[in-house]
Parts: sequence; C-alpha cells; structure tokens
Amino acid sequence: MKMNNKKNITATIKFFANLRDFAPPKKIVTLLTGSTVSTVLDMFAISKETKLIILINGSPHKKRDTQIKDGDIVAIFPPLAGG
Amino acid sequence: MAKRILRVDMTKLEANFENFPADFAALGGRALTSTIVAKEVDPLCHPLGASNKLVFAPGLVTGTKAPTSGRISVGGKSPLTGGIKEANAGTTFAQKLGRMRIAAIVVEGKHEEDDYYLLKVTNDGTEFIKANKWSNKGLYDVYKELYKEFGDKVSISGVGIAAEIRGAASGICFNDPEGLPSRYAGRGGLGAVMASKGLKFIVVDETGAPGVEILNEEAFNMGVKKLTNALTSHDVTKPGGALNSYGTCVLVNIINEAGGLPQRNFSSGQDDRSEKVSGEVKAEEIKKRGGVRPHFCSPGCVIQCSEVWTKPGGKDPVGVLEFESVWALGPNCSIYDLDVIGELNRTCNDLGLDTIEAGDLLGVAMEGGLLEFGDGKGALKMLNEIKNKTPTGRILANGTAFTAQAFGVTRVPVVKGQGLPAYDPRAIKGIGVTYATTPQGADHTAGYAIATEIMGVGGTADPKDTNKSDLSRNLQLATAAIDAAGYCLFIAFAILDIPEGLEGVVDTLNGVLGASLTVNDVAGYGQQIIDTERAFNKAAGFTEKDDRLPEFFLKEPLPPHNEVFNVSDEELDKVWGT
Repeated sequence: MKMNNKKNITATIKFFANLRDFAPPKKIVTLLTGSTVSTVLDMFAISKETKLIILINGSPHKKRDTQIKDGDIVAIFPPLAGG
Repeated sequence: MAKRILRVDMTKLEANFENFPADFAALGGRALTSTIVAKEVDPLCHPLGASNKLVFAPGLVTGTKAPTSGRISVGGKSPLTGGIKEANAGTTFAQKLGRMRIAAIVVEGKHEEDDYYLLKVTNDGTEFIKANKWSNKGLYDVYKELYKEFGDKVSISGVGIAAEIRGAASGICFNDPEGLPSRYAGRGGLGAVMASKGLKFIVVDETGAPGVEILNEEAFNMGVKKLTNALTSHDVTKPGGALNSYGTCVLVNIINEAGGLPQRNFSSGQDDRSEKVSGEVKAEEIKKRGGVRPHFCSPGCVIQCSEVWTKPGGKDPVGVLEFESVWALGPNCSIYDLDVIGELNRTCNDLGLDTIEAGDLLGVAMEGGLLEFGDGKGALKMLNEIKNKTPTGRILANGTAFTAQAFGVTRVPVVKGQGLPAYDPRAIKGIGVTYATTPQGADHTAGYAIATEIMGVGGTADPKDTNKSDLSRNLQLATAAIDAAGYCLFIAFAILDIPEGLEGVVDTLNGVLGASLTVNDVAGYGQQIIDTERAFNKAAGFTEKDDRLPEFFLKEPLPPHNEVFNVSDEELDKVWGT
C-alpha cells in the first residue's frame, strides 16, 4: 500500500460579517501540507468570484494562493471599511 | 438670494446677516471654517475667551441632492489642543443651513452675565431666547422639550453639561433624523467654546428657504449620477454591503484580528472578547430588540451606515453606537458588554461629551486607580461625576491628558492633547503618521490610512512598513477637500477605487459653483486648507515637536505583534516638508 507522504496540519479559520451566512464564525480545520487559502475556501464552497479580505496571523493583503502553515490563524472578511 | 454669513455677537446679543465675500466663493465646510478662524481669531487667544470664534459651515454641496453630503464643519481654536480645530458631523442641521444659503454662522464675543441663550434662525431673521431653563439638564430630555416647543421640523445644535463646566472634552451636538441628540462634531472641546460665549442652542427653521443655488445644473446632475453609481457599485459602500449591513462596528473584528485594536488603555492590540462588541453581534441584537438598522444620519445618504441602538425590548433609544465610541468605551476600558457600552454612550450624548475622548480619559482614569479596568458601573459613576460637577468630574471633563496628569498616569494616548482613536499606531504605522502630523491632533478621519493598510482600499500598503509620509499626506489632502465639499468621508472608499466617482464629486462642485475644476485640482485645494491650519498652529506656538507620538508608543512593544512605533522623525517631517 502506497503511503501519502504529505503530513496533516491544523489551522484556525475565522469568517466574518455576511460570510457567516455561508460559513462558521470559527473552525479548526485539518489540512494537508501545501494547502492554500483557496483550499479552505473550497471547503466552505466560497466561490472564486467572491471578493475577500484575507489576514493570516494578523497580517493583511494575503492572496488566495498563500500557503497555510501549521497553527496559522486565517481571518476572512468581505470587502469592508468604516472609521 | 445670494449666499450669506450669519454673524452672531454674543456680547451685544445681536445677529446680522452679511454678504458672503466674493473671494470666499469656492470655500465651504472645513475650508471656510479654517479660513475664517485663521483670518479672524488671534492664534494666541484663550480658547474660552471673548476673542475666540466658533464657526459653523455646511459643505459646498450640502443641502442638494448630491448623495451622502449632509455634513457640517464646526471650527474654532480648540481648548483641548490649543490649535485650530475642525469637527465634523452628519445632520439635517447642515442641510437646512445649505438650503437657507447660510454659508457660515460665526459666533463671537462673550455674554457677560451667567445666562444661557438659544438662537433661533429662520430664513428671514434671528431671535435670542433665554435658555437657562434648559441648562444643567441631560440633552435627551432637553431635545424632546425643544422639539415640543419649536416643532418637529427644526434642526438643533446644542451643548450639554460637560460644556457648561467648560470641559475640553465637550462636543457640539446635532440631532439625528429622529431628533435624538446623537450626532456630534465631537472632537476638540468646541462645546466648551460655544458654552463659554453663553450660547446653549441654535435652532434652525428652514421654512421658505430658497435651496442651494446651482449655477450649472447639467454638470451637477452628471456629477450626482457618476457619484451615485460609484457608491452603489463599490463593494464597501453599496446597499447590502458590510458597512450598510453592520455599520462602522464591522471594523471591530478586523482591527482586532490585525492586532491594532487598543485594549486596556493601549496596552495590547488584541483581545478575543472584542467579538462580543462587534458589528455582527450588534446588528443581530438590534434586529432582536426592534432598533433600526440600516439608517441614515441625514437624508440622501446612499451608504446608510447608521442605526438606532436601544435597550432590550426596543426601549430608550440611544442613537448610533459608532465603532470609535464602542471601542473607546469598550475594549479600551476592558468592557465587552454592548448594553454597558450603550449606556455609557447614552451618558456621553446626554452630557455633551466626545465619546472618543471619554473612552480615552476613562482608560487613563482606570490606569490611575480611580476604578478598575472592566468596571462598567464604575465608568458610569465616573461620568456622573461630570453631571454632578464635582471636582473629579471637572478633571475628567477636561480630557485624557488632563486626567492623566491629575492622576499621575504616564501612558497617555494623545497627540496635541487630543485622545487617540481606535487604531494603535504601533501595529498600523500609517495611521500613526496621520495622528502625528494632522493639524487637528490625533484624528483618524484626517487621513484614514487604515483603508489602504488593512482593507486594500485605494491600493495596498503593509501596515508595518514605516514609509508612510506619502500615503498619509495624500489622504490628508483628499480628506480636507471632501470636508470642504460637504461629502461624508466614507465616499472616499468608492472614489479612491472608481475614477468616475471622483469625477462625479468634481462635477457636482462645478455645478454648484459654476466653476471648471478638474480632478487634478483636488490635492491643491486640500493643500490650501492644510497650509491655512498649519500657519494658525505655528502662530499659536506649535513646532515639529508637536508632530510626534507620545514616548510610550516608541518604547513599549504592543502585543500581539510586539511592534513599537518606529517611523522616524524625518519621515514624519516629510509629510509637510518641514
């Protein structure tokens, strides 16, 4: 039997504002190494066309192809501003 | 009828309409308040003396059908900063002045007796009415009484008890569409300036007003169309977007996630409990309680980020709980309960107290040992010290820096004496550059770098990058121009990304003025306003040393990113080329 040499990682995914209509506010997910933000968005059926603001560990402007590392906190928002 | 200035002499209790000077034709809102203050007020005068003046000016397009343009600027020499001040609010009061073709109300002199007055302004004249019976009372009850007396079609500006004791944390209150005293030109202590003159209220009745003169209808209508299209199509400002659905408190979670939401008097930038006071939670509660959301601060707004917060069961409406207020009275004081924050906000509105300054001063009072962090009941009791005019209340009413000094606190989040808003400059550097360099004292609205640094609006910038002088300057110039036009600053989110939206703004100005401005004129227009304000501050004694953040931001790392504010003095001075 062939073994998958990819290890599992865990990450905390948070969704905010009207994204909570489709996805949970907070969920710890197990992912294969090399997974990206897109992998997570696919898990929650969020379409590629949906505009998002993505922060990883508090750092903004992350792209969908950013790789997620073990223990990362990924915070996903719709477009927003205020003040 | 040509545009006019209403000059109010509180020494003689006389008010007279004057012709609007031809060389002021292109000035409105902040451009007009700052120009009049710079021209007529001695920069070295005492802010609460007879020589200071208080200027109310609607924006150039305010009162027209231009979307999201119901703003008023209030200017004077600030008792909080000692420099020039422009505080801004969205209210029907602004729109009425615009339609009455009153470009500015200039309040000057000082009534020598102890009496307070109400100034009633109609299209044809003015009347001074003794207002002593409405002093020493909370503004919620007083506004109800005033609406009963003057009818529900008037708009009201007023000051509360915090201003009566000349507190430098007192703001100028305006009505919201329901008549609640919840819309504030809050910053800089201008409430105390109004009260110091013996003026408690201005009631405006626009019956018979001719409306704003529009010299080029075609250009104006084209501009309205372009701007409306931009606002209704941009993801941030469109109906059903996050700002419309959750209000400004939609920022609680994202700024907290970014590690820049100050907690516990600026000692941390993140706390999981912040979610409890988020826009998401608040919108749900408003739905349950039967409050109102979305809602506008003034008719004609496309964005509609406002709301009416109530007690459970829809009782005792407060008005809007803005993000800055919720942060200041909440996480900054380790308070994570919307009901407590709602009552603190109500008390601020009732007393005529700036909510940002109130949250900052409560934070330093907690640090100084007057009460514990997280003590909501204690915080309400502290604000009631102001209501009761006790010595402690009088200290608190004078703001964050004064309170910190009185109680020996060294972590004092102020610039030019004014308390910081809801973004820690150690985690998000560009907003720190704005706090340091705006002539207004710490003010996020002066150049909202957060939009670019966190939300990716108007491009993207790394919040930790220290090269932010260009970003801050460009935003400060655009903001000054928007404040003069009378648009809400939130239109910037759309027009920074959609060029036709900015064209629309310029077209509406050309329509009103009969001018031929282009988008390339916007920065220069903003620069003139900033130059005027900086010249006043320089004459008042400000130097580049006042364009700095307090020491603790440079030395104490802020969790969770453990950053300090490491923008160099040279970078700060590059903003205005000093």
